Amino acid sequence: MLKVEDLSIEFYDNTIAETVVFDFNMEVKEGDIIGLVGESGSGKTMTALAIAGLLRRHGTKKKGHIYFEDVDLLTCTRSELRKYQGKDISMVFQEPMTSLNPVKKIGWQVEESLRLHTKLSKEERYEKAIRILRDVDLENPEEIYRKYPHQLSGGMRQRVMIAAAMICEPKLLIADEPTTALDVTIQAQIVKLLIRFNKENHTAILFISHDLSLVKQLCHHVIVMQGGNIVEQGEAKELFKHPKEEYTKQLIAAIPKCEKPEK
Amino acid sequence: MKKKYNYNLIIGTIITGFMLLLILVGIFYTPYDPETMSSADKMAGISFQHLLGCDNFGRDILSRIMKGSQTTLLVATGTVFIGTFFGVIVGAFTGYFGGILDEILMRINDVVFAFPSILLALVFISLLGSGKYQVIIALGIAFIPSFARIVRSEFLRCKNMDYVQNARLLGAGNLRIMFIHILPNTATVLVSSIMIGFNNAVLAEAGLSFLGIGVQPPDASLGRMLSEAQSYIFTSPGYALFPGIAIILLVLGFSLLGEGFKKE
Repeated sequence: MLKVEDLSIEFYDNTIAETVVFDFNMEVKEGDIIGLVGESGSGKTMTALAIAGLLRRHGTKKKGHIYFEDVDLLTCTRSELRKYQGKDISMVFQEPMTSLNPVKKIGWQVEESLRLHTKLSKEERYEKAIRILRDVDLENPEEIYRKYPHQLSGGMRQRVMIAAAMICEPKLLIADEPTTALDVTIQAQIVKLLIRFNKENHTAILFISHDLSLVKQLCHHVIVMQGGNIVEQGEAKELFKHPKEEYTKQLIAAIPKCEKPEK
Repeated sequence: MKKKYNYNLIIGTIITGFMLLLILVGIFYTPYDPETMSSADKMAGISFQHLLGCDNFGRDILSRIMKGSQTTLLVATGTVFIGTFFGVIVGAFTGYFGGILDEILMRINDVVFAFPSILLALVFISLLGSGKYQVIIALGIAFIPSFARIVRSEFLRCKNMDYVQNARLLGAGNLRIMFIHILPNTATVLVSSIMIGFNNAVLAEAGLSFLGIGVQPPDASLGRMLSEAQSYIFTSPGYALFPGIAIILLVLGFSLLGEGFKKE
């Protein structure tokens, strides 16, 4: 479904060109959950933004191809890209506190992609919005529909974000560290939610994180990045059991373990 | 629980309400016809027949203030409307897109901004001729740059916010992002600058009319009344005083309202 071939991203912000992603290759099939892990600055978010079509057109140079159902997202026109954005590819950001428009009601924001991509009537949109809000385990969706973002907690906002991203039933959901700003119990709930969407709708998920314990729970396939390069990739179980590269070993060693302290 | 009162808002509402009431009543009823002259009442003082006295042609000052505030309000509203409308469009495009468009429009903006608004209005009036609607257009154009700057800076602040990225991600077009997603976020700043702009417009209109190039007789306007009164300022101080007070009340009311909204 999604195929990334030899993707390189270069920035021309300063006088010297900076390459942040080198020859990135990836393939996502329907129903896959792929984990993209690496330290800060390893290029994982840049890759995600490129796939979502959010990289600025000026000042960045992109090489390679991103095929989504045989359309190259890097070279197609903006209006063509917009047909996919929100409908087939959507994304959840890291920061739930700032990702919602502070002056618009939750319901309005959840419905936005329906308004852009479908011709549903107001009542149908309302029904769909309520259903998706209930699907992300929010209590009293009718009430939340009428609230403003500042009236909700961080966990609730992240659910709203997921609801807004999932309302058009996209084929690919990019989750860019969706749980980083949340505490551990909420993290677990969000991860469960993502797994449920994956099972029920066969939504492919590209899960970006530096939290390996989450990736271990969630992903089928893991790609490890460092400094813009893919260091290692493979099946999640295999990778965690027998990491080949030193960097992967270090990352895995950094997961806190629950063991009895030795006496 | 003790409630903290927003005195700016309360006093502003009372003053503005009073002036608006005066203007509203003036549309349907004035004690005398504001344009009928009567030689018997020339320079009449304050009395029960003429609550605020009469002017040099024997016209009732209260009636003329009621009509005059109407004109002033119309001019101020029209000016602010033109200024805000085009200012928002220019500010939105320059702030959102940046680049060459931004440079060109903002430099033109700077040129217009560099002129004092009265002077610029003078230029336009000498081109368009004088009168109520010409004043509106002239002042409106002179007011565009200040609104454009305010809106532009707000757009610059908002355009990199996560929620704008999110809207783009959902496939929203540029115009939709600009006017539906970002514009409501500029409301707080925009509303208070509209209030300030409104005050400046009232003062500018009064200034232009005072100079004799604004609203033309027999239309009454507050500035026009002031300028007519200046020759009689010692013999009949009320003639100059009451329109002046009306201007002060109008401006004070709106600036207090603006302050009040900012605090809310």
